[in-house]
Amino acid sequence: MTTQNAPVPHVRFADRLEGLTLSGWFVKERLERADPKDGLSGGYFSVGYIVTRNGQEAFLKAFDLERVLEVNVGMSPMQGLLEMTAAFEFERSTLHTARRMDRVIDILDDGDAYVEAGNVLSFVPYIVMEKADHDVRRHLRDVRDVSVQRRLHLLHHVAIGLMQLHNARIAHQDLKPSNVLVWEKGGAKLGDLGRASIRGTASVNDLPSFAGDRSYAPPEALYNHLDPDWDRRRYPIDLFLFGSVIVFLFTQTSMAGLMLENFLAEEHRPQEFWQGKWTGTFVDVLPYLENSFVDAVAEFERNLPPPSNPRKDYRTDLVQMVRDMCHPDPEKRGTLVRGGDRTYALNRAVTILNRLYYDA
Amino acid sequence: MKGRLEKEKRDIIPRWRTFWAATRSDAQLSSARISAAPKYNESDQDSYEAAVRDFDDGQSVWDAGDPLLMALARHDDATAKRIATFILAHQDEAVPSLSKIANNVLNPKSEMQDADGAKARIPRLRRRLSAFPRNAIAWADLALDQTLLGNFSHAERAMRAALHLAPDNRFILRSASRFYIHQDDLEQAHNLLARSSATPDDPWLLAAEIATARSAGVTSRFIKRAHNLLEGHNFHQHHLSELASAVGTTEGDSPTARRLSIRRLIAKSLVDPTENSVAQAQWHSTNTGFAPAFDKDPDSRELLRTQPVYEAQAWQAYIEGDFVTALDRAKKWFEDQPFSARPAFLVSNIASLLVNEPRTAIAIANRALKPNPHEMVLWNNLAYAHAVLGEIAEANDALSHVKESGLDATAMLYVTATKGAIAFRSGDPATGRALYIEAMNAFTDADGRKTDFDLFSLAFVHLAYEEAVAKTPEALELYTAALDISQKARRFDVTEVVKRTADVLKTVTVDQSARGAKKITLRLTSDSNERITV
Repeated sequence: MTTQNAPVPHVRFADRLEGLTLSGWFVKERLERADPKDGLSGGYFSVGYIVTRNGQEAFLKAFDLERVLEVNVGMSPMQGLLEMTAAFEFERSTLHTARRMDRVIDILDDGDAYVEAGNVLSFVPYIVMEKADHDVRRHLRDVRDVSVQRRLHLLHHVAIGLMQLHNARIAHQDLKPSNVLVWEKGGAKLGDLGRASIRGTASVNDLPSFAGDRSYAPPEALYNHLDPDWDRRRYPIDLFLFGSVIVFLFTQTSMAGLMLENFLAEEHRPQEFWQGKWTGTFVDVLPYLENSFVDAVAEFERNLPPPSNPRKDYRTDLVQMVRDMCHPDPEKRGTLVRGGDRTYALNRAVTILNRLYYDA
Repeated sequence: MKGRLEKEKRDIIPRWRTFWAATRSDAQLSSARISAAPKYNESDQDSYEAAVRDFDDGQSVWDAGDPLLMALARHDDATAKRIATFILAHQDEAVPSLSKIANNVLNPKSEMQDADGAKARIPRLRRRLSAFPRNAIAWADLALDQTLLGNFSHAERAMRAALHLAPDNRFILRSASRFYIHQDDLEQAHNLLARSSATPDDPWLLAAEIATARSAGVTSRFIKRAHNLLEGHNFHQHHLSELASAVGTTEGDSPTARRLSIRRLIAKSLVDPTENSVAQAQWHSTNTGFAPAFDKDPDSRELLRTQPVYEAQAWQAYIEGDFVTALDRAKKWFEDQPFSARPAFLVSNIASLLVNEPRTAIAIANRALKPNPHEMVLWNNLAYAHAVLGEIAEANDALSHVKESGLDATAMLYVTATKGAIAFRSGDPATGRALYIEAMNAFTDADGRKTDFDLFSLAFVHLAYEEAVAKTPEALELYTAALDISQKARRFDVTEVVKRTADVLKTVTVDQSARGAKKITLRLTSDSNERITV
């Protein structure tokens, strides 16, 4: 009587990098998967790893090509492969473009790994990025009582990072607390450019109405009121998202959540994401949004701790910044100074936050 | 003696509430058009679940805020309560606003619009506007609060600011129109709506335009457009309710109106109606016959029984003689529309005589006089209520605000009768009687026929009541005549006054033979030849 060996289940190539050395980086530990929600979201299937080289730890993101072919992403396998490959390549090239931006996560290396010798189909494209200690949400969670000064410091860095991207005509589009990366003994950088958009460069991130995390989306994205002009659409979105990060640091919620859920009647909420009942136009709902926005800003203001130096009160400027960045009407964002030059708005924000941080 | 309102002309003009109250009272601020349900986005549910997972894994208030708000949006009460409970258990780590949101989840509370709160709300609204001057909603709310306090120039400035910021917004336009109606500027009230580009496509604005056109005595040019909307299938029924009512009411004025068509429109207005539509239908039921009698029609009774339709409930209870219920509903109607004189008239009417609550009448009249300082009937009602309590100085003071030169015959009857009541309560029954007789004479022609029996009978039974309170020698005789009149008048308020007269004359035994007496002749005083025969 003979015994047949049970077939060995196939482990996807992207899941098998642990223990390998890629471009000098030792793949130390496998982390979580990051799956896009559907094939058109602009993301791609990936697996994360901690890697080390010469004592330095970094983060490796491996593109899981096989999973594209296994999962029904709502399109043909070939189309899915093409789109996700394009998304991966876009993120890789955007990171390279952002290489000299000191407040944007740095790409340290990239390449293709062949997991099985002689098997040309076993290749796994990867990107190696610098690794932060936490994202800002976890930083606030783990470090109790983060001071106002520290928060302003981090926001200063976020503003610089965003300004650097905008100066290169890159819109982040997915700025949120989990994409603000923090070093305990340092500052912050912007991470995850996977949803970015570059002016003049078509990408899958330009296809959906809003490429980023919809729970943070600005109102115009959820009421289907997006301007076809690249500048008038992308920059105000980033300003809103930046303002929302400011709000989060002091209210533990997002501006979108406060404005579109907490202070807005269900009749006026967008059907998209917040499951409201509004079927009218954005213009018609705008007065109600402005009203709830006032409440949201007031709530933000109420949560601001008093300054340590009463003669240097950071609160007025910070509230004004949120009021300017998060206005529900995208045409009114970033118009605080210089008659509406939105690229200048971030320069101003950087200057103000720098002053507030030093004064705090 | 009070005003009589149930016969007054009624238009289905917009209700005026604060923005907060308007979003809660009916769906007038929601999207009117029927549209296809949005495409389900699976990633939204994934985002939500991921956020809840992050909270469950992290167990931190920093992970709690986002999923809590998402859970509330999805009516996922169990998850919302679970997260809220966690937040409240970790309040030392949560910021105040997050704790407040969590607390509201576990301990929901309601906030009523409070007319007395206008004084407290105005500074808050001003601070809001100082921080954010381009908030049209806040300007409109400020206009309402200023109106409640009688600061009309401030109110107008605020309303103009609201209109400037949001000239085509439904809430702003309807509020503004109602404001100008309140200011007696019917032309402006109508023009705002007639000129807005939003009106032709919005059933709420069309309804308001047609109703204000009728109030202003002009013809709406949107009647045909209104019919198109009513016959189409683009709007939810609720959003067509006031439009159907407005069109029906307006077309019902025409001498060539087809009664069946009008009745159908009013019936349509009662399919998923607004509170205002029900009130208009109740008015039709007692004044035009375009709606079935509310005391007999089962659907109408069901509406009255189950919905917070205070104005309709108040009037229906009033005409059915249930004055306790009528007062309760009229007070709620007043709380909903505290700038309006109409509910205050009804409250003060019922309170001071029919259910013996003159203090309630005084309180409501005083509140209503701030936004209505020139409403003579309110001053009159206030005077009467004070007189009933024996507060003669206050009664005279209130009456001194009444400018008689502008009053019509009906209003003069009320004022004269109130003077008579004051005289009686001051211990001068002869003067009092003379004044009541003067009032009644205004509705009696040279041949002694009653030109308005309703008003005459009201005045007469009130005289009988005052005579009874004053214990005059004529009291019993007048009571008997009043009893006779009440049977002819067939009005519950008349009957109620007669009952109260009987209560006062506790020792009176009704002489059945006196009931058939057709004529009572009164001498004004013992040495006067002046008489009145009833």
